[in-house]
Amino acid sequence: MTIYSLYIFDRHCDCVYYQDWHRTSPIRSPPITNFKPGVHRLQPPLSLNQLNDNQNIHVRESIFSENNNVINRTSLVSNGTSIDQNQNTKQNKLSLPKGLPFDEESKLVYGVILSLRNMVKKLSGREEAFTSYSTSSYKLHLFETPTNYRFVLLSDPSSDSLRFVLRQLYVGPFLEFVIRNPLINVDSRTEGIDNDQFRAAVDRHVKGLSMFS
Amino acid sequence: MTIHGLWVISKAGGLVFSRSYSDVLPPQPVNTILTLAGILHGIHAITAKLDPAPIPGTPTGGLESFEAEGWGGKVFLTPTGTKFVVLHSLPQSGLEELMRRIYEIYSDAVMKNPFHTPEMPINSALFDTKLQTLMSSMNA
Amino acid sequence: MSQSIGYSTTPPTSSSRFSLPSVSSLTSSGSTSTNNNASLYSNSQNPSTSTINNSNRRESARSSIIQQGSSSLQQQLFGSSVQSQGGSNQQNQQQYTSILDRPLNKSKSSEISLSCWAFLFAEIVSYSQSRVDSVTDLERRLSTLGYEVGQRILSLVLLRNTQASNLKDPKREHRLIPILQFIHTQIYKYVFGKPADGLEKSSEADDEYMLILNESPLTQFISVPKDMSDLSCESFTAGLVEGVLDGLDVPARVTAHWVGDQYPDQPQRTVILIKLDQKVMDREEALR
Repeated sequence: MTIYSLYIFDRHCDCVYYQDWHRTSPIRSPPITNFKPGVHRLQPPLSLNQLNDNQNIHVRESIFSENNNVINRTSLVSNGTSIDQNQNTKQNKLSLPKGLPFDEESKLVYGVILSLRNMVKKLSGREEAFTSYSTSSYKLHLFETPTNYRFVLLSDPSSDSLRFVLRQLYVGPFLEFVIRNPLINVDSRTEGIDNDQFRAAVDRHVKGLSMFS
Repeated sequence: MTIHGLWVISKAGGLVFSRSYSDVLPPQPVNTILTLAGILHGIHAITAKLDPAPIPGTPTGGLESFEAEGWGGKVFLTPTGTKFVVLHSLPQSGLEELMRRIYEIYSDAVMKNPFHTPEMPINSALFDTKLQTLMSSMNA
Repeated sequence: MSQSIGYSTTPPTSSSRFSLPSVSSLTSSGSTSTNNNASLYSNSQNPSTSTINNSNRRESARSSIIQQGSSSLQQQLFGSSVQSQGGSNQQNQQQYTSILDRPLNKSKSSEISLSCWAFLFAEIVSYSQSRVDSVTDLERRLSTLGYEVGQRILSLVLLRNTQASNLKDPKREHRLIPILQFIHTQIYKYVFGKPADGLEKSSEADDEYMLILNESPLTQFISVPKDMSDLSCESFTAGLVEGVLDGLDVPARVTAHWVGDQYPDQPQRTVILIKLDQKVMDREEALR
């Protein structure tokens, strides 16, 4: 039993939050043009770093040492092409880890959810969404809030329904640290909802689950 | 468990057979099902790509089942790329066995029928009646 | 195909039936055969050369050629297991490893997979279908193929019966009713694993008989499209029956008809209609 990752989509179909735990498939940072701050803690693209240095744009930085671990693990999976990435990031832009860029992956996730959701709606003739789907290697759980936020959790395929977890995340950390946080622009199209307290609370909650291991 | 319907989707993503076996889900025009089958085919391909923890060297499988409120769907992929999609009520049990039976009937009544063209819509009275019998026994 | 093949009136002795040199001596080229390995092919051909009198010299020539070629081929394919003696040797207790190595006279366990046959037959039908214009032509083609099978099966079944009952000569029916019963039980049992479900005499015509099979293993997976609804793939069986009848010197016109629509319990019920030649009726009259 394990939990792989969490996505939160807002009503504009954009991913506003991403966090992962046990995933082994590589993911890389989106290109600079599609980079949206405040969503994930993937290593920002090179040019953005430079931008940061030069123009002092505010980008939230990771507070988790684990975040670096993610990237290290990613590097190992991608056959060492990017072992030296951490040292060479500034110089060698070509040695990015393999895998989909984050923006494309989140679009795929959202696309699958949307089409499956529409199909289910059409088939049942009612206003209802699917609650989960599974493949041989993972299971995706979907929870929709009345305000059209969509919480998506990827777990291993044998787990029971985890919608209650998503609901807990919604009524707990999300309301506490996002909705009640005046510094978060909840309907922004340019920024995510990431903040240290929210991330820490989500992390604590997920790691406290019995199926997390 | 009630079986609501069955689709057969060809290797290329075209719907070659669809039947409804209960009236829980509203009846759909054939064109709608045709579109939905195509969408499902696409979803199947994308879901395989989203595998968060692939085991190196093994191909990742696509969508196997989905659940909505009170009903769900099960996708069975044959080694040759044909997909059987069963829409069923929840909670479900014995779907694996049902899928095997459907596959068996398909190989008997469709693949051994000289008048069937592969990848084309299934037009076999035998397939229909055999499935009807199977589904009635499931829904009884 | 219309020519009937005469049945040997002088039964061959058992030595001439099975010893390989005599087979090769029928041919000009095969006489150099010295190896004594019995192959399935030579076994299967020998009875036909000996029991069917004429027009089979070509057949026997082929048999010896196949036999020569096959011994080495079989050894390559199946190793040293092909060490059996002549097919007539019933004391052969060797453990056979492949289906091809089994002796012909053992009818038990010589079954083939139904799926295998179903796929083959489906291909036969669709191949034939691609080469005809009409349903009638397709039925004729299937019937022709069945005829060939029928001729060969007759020889084989007679051979096995002879050996099973330790007779010296093949026993052959000559009256019409026993012949039809022979087909109904023995031939059908050999081909389909069970006797036919019925043998009836037509109430309308004296020279018409009907063999009924409720569910033929041959065509049970086939569902005929609506636009060809009068096609019955059982034409193959009809041809088979015709071949057997012809081999027994009972010329007849045999056709297959699907009657499942009249029998809701047996949606695949098929009638094999045998319309006998006037010659047969005359002979029956004379023998009475």
